Amino acid sequence: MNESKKEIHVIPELCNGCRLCEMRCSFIQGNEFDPLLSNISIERNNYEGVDVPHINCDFTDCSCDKPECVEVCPTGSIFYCTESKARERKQELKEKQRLQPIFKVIAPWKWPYQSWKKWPYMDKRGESSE
Amino acid sequence: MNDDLFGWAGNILKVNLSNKSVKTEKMPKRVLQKFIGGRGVNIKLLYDDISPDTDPLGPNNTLIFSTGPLSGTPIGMGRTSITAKSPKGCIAEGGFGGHFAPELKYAGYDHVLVKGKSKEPVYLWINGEDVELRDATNLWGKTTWETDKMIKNELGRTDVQMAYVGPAAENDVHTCPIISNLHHSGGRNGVGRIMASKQLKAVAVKGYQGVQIARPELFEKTYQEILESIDIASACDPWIPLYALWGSVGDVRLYNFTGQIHSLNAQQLNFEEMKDKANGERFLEKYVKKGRASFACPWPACGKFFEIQEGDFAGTVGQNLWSGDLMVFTALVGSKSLEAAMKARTICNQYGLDLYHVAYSIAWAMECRQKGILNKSDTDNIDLRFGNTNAMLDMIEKIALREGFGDLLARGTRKASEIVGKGSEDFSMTIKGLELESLTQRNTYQYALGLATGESGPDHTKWLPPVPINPVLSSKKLLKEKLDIDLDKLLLDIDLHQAAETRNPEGKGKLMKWLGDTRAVIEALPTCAFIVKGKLSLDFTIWTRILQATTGEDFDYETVLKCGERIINTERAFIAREGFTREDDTIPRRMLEDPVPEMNVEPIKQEDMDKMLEDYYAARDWNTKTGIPKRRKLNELELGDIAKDLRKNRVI
Repeated sequence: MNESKKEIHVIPELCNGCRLCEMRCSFIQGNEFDPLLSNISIERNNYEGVDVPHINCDFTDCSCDKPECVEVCPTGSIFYCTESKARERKQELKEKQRLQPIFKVIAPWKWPYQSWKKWPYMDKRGESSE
Repeated sequence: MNDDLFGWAGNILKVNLSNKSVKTEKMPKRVLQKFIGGRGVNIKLLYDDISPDTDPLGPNNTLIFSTGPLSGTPIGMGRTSITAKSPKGCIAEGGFGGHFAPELKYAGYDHVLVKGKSKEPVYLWINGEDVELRDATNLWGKTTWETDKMIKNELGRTDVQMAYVGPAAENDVHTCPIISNLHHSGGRNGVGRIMASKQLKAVAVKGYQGVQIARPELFEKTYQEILESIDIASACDPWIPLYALWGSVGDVRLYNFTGQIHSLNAQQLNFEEMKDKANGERFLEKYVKKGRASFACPWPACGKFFEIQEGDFAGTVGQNLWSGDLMVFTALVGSKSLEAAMKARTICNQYGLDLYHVAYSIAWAMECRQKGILNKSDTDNIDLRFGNTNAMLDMIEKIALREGFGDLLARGTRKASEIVGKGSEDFSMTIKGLELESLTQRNTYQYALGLATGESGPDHTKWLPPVPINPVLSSKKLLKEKLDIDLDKLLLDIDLHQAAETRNPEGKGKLMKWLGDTRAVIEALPTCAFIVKGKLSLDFTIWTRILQATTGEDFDYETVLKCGERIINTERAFIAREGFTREDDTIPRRMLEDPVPEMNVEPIKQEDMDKMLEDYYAARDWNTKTGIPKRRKLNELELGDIAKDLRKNRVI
C-alpha cells in the first residue's frame, strides 16, 4: 500500500445526512444543483438515523489538495488524507468524544469550525464574468 | 424545466382527487415575480382558488404543497410550505424542513395543488414526470412510520421523500399537521386534517433533474457571504454557535431562569425541574446519537437523532427536540421527565398530531382538575393531575384515537372549554382557536403582538426575532461601524433599541411589520428561519442578491420587501374575507388578567395591547378599527383584484 497516497475517508457516525457535499460537487461539475451530477451521494436511513456517504470520484474535477466536498462538510465526516492519518483521526475522535459530548456531532478537526472565506474552487474560476 | 426560467421549475402540478385527474400547467411568470414562491405563491393560489363559503373539510378546499426558487439549491434548506383554508376558517399554513421540497423541485414542480376528494384512500406518487394516484386502502389507519415503510416496500425503493398524515388526521382531530420523513412536522393549523379529509394518505416524490442557476458567479459569491454570516467562528450573533451545534433545545434552561416558560398551563413562568433534569444539556449528553440535518444546512447539528437505551422509555427513538417540544411536555403539564417528553414527541409524529394542541389541551384539563371542574371519573379514570407523566402519555393516544375523554380534547382546547364551561374558558390558551406554542407574552410584549396578529393563528416562526436581541443589532451606530449595515439605506425607520425593550408597548408595531414582511420573504424563497440571525436578520439586500443570482430576474431590495408586504396583505385579505377582524387579534385572557407574583410579572394592560395593535395596523396602513387592509394599500401593492373582491364581499 502506498502510504503517501491520499484518499477521502469516511466516518459515517459523524455524517448528518445534509448532502452539502452532493450539492457542492454538482455545482462544480455543471454550475447547477443536481444530485445526479454529483460524484458523492449520501444514503439516508431515517428509521435508525444512519447516513452513509458513498464516494465515486477520481479527483479530476477539483484536482487540488482540498476536495470541495470535504471542505464543505459541516461535521468533518469526510476527510482527505493518507491511510495512517485517517487512523490517527479516528482514534482522536474516540478519545475526545469521551471527554466532551460536542464531538458526537462535530469532528475535533472541524472545531471551532472552518471559515468559509476561502474555497479553492472560487479561486480557480475567479469572478470574471460578473 | 421551463426554458426561460432559472431557479423556479415553472410548473404546477394540479391533482383532482374527485375524478382522479392529474395535469401539469405552466406557472404564470407574473405570479412568481410578485409572490416569489413558497408561502407567497401559495396564498395567492389559495385566495384565487376558493370562495369564502368553502367548507374547509369539503372537496372544494385547496391544499397546496410548495417549493420556491431557492429549493433544491443549498440555501433552500429543504423548507416546504403547505397552505389551505384552516378548519378554523383562517389560513392553515406551515412548513417543515428535511428533504421533501428539494426532491419535489428535482421532479420539476414548484407547487402541487390538490382539489377534490377521493372515494377511497389514495396516495400520490410523483416519479419525475410520471405521476399517479395509487390505492392506499391498506395504509389507512396506519401510523406515519408504518406508512413510510409500507410505501417504500411497495415502490421497491428507499430513495423517495415523503409526506403523509397519521391516524389522528384521519380521525378528524382538531389541528393535525403533515409529517414528512418520520420526523418533520409542519402546518399545525390543520393541513394534515384537510389532507386526510380528501382521503389523501401520502405524497411520495422522486426527481431526476437539476436546478439551473441564472448567474452562478453571483450565486457563489452571495452564498459565501451568507455562510460567513452564520459561520460558528465568524458570526457576530452569539446565538449562532448554540443553534448550529445544539439546536433550540439548548435555550431551555436560560428561558427557565428568565421566566420565559409556560408552566402549569401558564399559571407559572418557570419550572424547578428544568434546572437539573428536564433540560437540553442532559438531552445532548445522554440521548443524542448523532447530528441530523435538513437539506444542505451548513450547521452540523441543529437537528439530532436520539435514542433512549434504558429505563421506562427504553427503545424510544426520534429526531430533533426543539425547545418548544421540551417545554410543553414538561413544564406546561408539570411533568419532570425529559425521557417522557422525548417519547411524547415521537408518539405525536407517529400519530400525526400537533404536539402543541395535545400538550395545551392536556394542561387545560389538568387545570380543570386542579380547580375541581373535572374529576377523575370524567377523564376515564386517568388521573389527570399536573405532574402525572403517565397520564399525559396515555392521553396523547386517546386524543389521536378519539377514545373516551380524548374525544373531547381532540376537538381542541377552545371547543373543549366551551363544552365543559364552568369558567374553564378563561384558561383556554388559544388564539383564533389554535393553541399557543409555549412563548410567553406577559414579559415580552413583542410576542403578545406577534401571536395576536397571526393570519394562521399563533405562529412564532413567522416573525420571531433573534432573542434576546444582540445589543449590537439594536444600535444604529454600532450596526454601521461593526456590520456595515445602514438602517437608513435599508429603509428601516425603527427605533430598534426601544423596540427591543421587553415590557414597553412603544415601537412594537413598526418592528412587527418589518419582521412580518421580511419573514414572509424568507418563507417564499424559501430558506430556514433559524439561519435568519445576525446580519442576515437585518440586511435583506443579501437575500435580494441570492434571489437575483438564482432567478436572473430583476428583483431589487425594494421590490423584494414589497413582495413580503404583498404576501402579508394577501393573507390578511384572505382572513378578512372569511370574517376575521380586529376582535380576533387578541391573546388569551390569562395574559391580560393574571399576574405571576413569583416572577414579579404583571398581566399586559388592555390599553397597552390596544396601543400595540393600533400601531401595528397604522404601520401597515390598515384600518386601525378593523385591522383590515385599506383599498388604497391593496392597490398600491398591485393587489387591485383583491381590493375588488373584498369590496364585492362587502369587507371594505
